[in-house]
Amino acid sequence: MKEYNSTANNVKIEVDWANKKGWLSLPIDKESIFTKIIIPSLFVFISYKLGWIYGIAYLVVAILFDKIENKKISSFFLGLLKLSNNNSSQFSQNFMLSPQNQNFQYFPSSPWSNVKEVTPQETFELGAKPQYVYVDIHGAEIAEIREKVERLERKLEEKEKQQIIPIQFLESEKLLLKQPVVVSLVYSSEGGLWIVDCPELNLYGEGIDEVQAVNDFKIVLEEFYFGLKKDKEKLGPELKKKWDILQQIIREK
Amino acid sequence: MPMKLSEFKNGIMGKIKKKFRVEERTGDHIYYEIWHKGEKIKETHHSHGSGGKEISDDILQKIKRQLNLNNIKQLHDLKNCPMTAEDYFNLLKQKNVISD
Repeated sequence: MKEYNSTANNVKIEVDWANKKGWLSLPIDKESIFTKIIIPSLFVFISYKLGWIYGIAYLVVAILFDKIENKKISSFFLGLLKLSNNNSSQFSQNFMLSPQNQNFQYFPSSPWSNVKEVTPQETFELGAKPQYVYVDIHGAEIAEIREKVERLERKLEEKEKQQIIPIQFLESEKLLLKQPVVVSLVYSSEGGLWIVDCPELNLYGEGIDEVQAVNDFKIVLEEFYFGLKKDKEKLGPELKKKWDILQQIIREK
Repeated sequence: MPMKLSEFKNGIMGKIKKKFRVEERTGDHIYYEIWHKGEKIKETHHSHGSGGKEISDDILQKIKRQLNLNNIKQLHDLKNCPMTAEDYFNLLKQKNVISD
């Protein structure tokens, strides 16, 4: 017993050369059940009962009407037709093939491959139903990556537009700046805010426009100053450093 | 990922309170002072909600820096479960912000 598989369309033929018998195994799906099961069955039935001329005539008509979807299947039938011309007595209810056709010259060579020797119990697989389901496993990942890239591009653009500005006046009733404080001013598209930042003092201000952001920073600076002043004897090392810096740049009125 | 003001107050400051004394002071903004062994070690703030009821990522970056965290993820970890108050304590100790 030999098994021949078509890798292209899951068609399988098993041939028992010793007993001159063959089995055809075709995958069944809704679309091709007519062309793969009904047409071949009727073809075999008509050929067996009425003769090969009628069988061939039926097949030609069936092919023309149905416009067989799968060309490989149709080429397979053409192979069968040629085979039948050589030896019309070789077909029975099962496709019976004669030993002289062992070279398989009538079957399309390209998609067919000799796969393995199998035992007779394994042979009949007419019920095989391949299901082809398209699963887009990368779609969500790609969308997420694209979103991240867009976000990074936006950030980069914002960073490029970052301005370094000096703040020269506090506009406070209690405090005066001894020297300008250099800050960065940047627009944040995420929050729709302008942000003024001074990493040295670890302070920031925010606002819906540049002026509001700068004013907010001044308020934060003042509140930070008095916040540290009230606890100046109890500051940890980090805040102590900040207090020292503030004393260098700010004086009370 | 932006953070709600309530999440910041309850999640982050709530967790820090388990290990430190946190004092809240209100002015034009809401200030949080973090105290350890009688010393004020950290101060952070956020607005009353000028940018809506959420703190944007860019503002969270500044808050992260004020709290001496390494990245935004740690801020979110502090709000959620992965980072405990003890972990934050150890982080500050590592950075010599506090001593034992």
